Amino acid sequence: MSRETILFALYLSAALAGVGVYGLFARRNIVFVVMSIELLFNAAILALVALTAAGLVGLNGIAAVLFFLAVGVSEVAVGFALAIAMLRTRRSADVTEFSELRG
Amino acid sequence: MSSPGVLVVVLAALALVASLYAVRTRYVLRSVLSFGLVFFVLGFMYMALGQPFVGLVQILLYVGGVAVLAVFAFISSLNVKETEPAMAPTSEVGAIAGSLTTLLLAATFYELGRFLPATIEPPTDGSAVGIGTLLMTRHLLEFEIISILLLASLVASLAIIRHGRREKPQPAAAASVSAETREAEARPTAEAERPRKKRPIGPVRETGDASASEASVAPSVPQTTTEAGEAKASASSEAENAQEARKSSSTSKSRARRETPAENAKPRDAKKKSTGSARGTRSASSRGSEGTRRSRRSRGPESAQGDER
Repeated sequence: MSRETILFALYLSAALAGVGVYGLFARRNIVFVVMSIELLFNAAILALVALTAAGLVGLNGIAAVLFFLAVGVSEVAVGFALAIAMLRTRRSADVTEFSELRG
Repeated sequence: MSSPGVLVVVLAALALVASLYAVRTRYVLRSVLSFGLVFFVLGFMYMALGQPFVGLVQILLYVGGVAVLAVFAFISSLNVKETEPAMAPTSEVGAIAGSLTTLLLAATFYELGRFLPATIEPPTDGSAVGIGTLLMTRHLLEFEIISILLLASLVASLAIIRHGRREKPQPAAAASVSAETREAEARPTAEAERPRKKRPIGPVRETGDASASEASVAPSVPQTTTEAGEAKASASSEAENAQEARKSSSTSKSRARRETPAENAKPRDAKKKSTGSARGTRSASSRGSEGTRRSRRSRGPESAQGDER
């Protein structure tokens, strides 16, 4: 494994994180928002995998990657449950409409 | 200085383009599928980086789980009104923040790249054996915590979805006292009509049999005073029913129908006991009628809520 491959993967993870942040801010639909958070998670996982492949964190990086995957998937489960609850209660998927704490 | 390799470059370009399209498009389904493509490509990226097990887990979890879940969320949002501008008002902020994030991370990784040796031996062959051993020995605590987290998120998502569902179809079951009293007023009238329909076709069985079944129920279930009196009342009404029906007709069809109330009496009494005395007095007037299917159905969720309270 060459050094450039690792660096390329790290740059890709930076780009994906940027796209995830953009999607988090730019979209109204909650499905987009949840998937953007997933994209951020995946960027972090990609960076961790690249660093593991670089030998910087040892085998612990892979264990951390698996934990990240579990956390990301549980997050998306709760996120889509929230999305469905939103759709049921307000008949709207627009996150900008949900701007008050009560009700 | 060697290049990163054609496969990695192609995968990275695909992932980047697909993610940008997924974020920018206004169609939810296309976006979800593009996100699925991104996750799929990232799984292959992990494999190209020498971690096939992580790549497989990624494809399994994200393409098989998350993307399907997202499609499900999309399907449930089909009848929701379209949000007219697809982009939020913070779209420019998002563009600035996204590019800043990218720049910051890229600068960090550039600095980090100085410490990387030219050629790197991966620490593992990527097989599941070493990872499994590590998870079960050194990271056991984290493993258990993650399992608790998964359980908690499962329960949380189920609770969120169930809460939203219960609110919509029956607003009367919102556990307010006024709603309960309203229901209590409504029920006797609704059920008073039912026995009228039922009585003529009703009982054919011998009266002794019916009273015996009632008698077998009554002492076995310790009841409050109102319930006991009311059970007697229902028993006497049943005796009347039996006499009337013996006069009228004795078809085998009606015989079959007669059996159901007698069987219903037992579980209903047991349920009465569990729901508590307040509800017992409330619906006492309605209990003289037989346990029709409707009353059983409407009592079911109530008793469950009563237990929750």
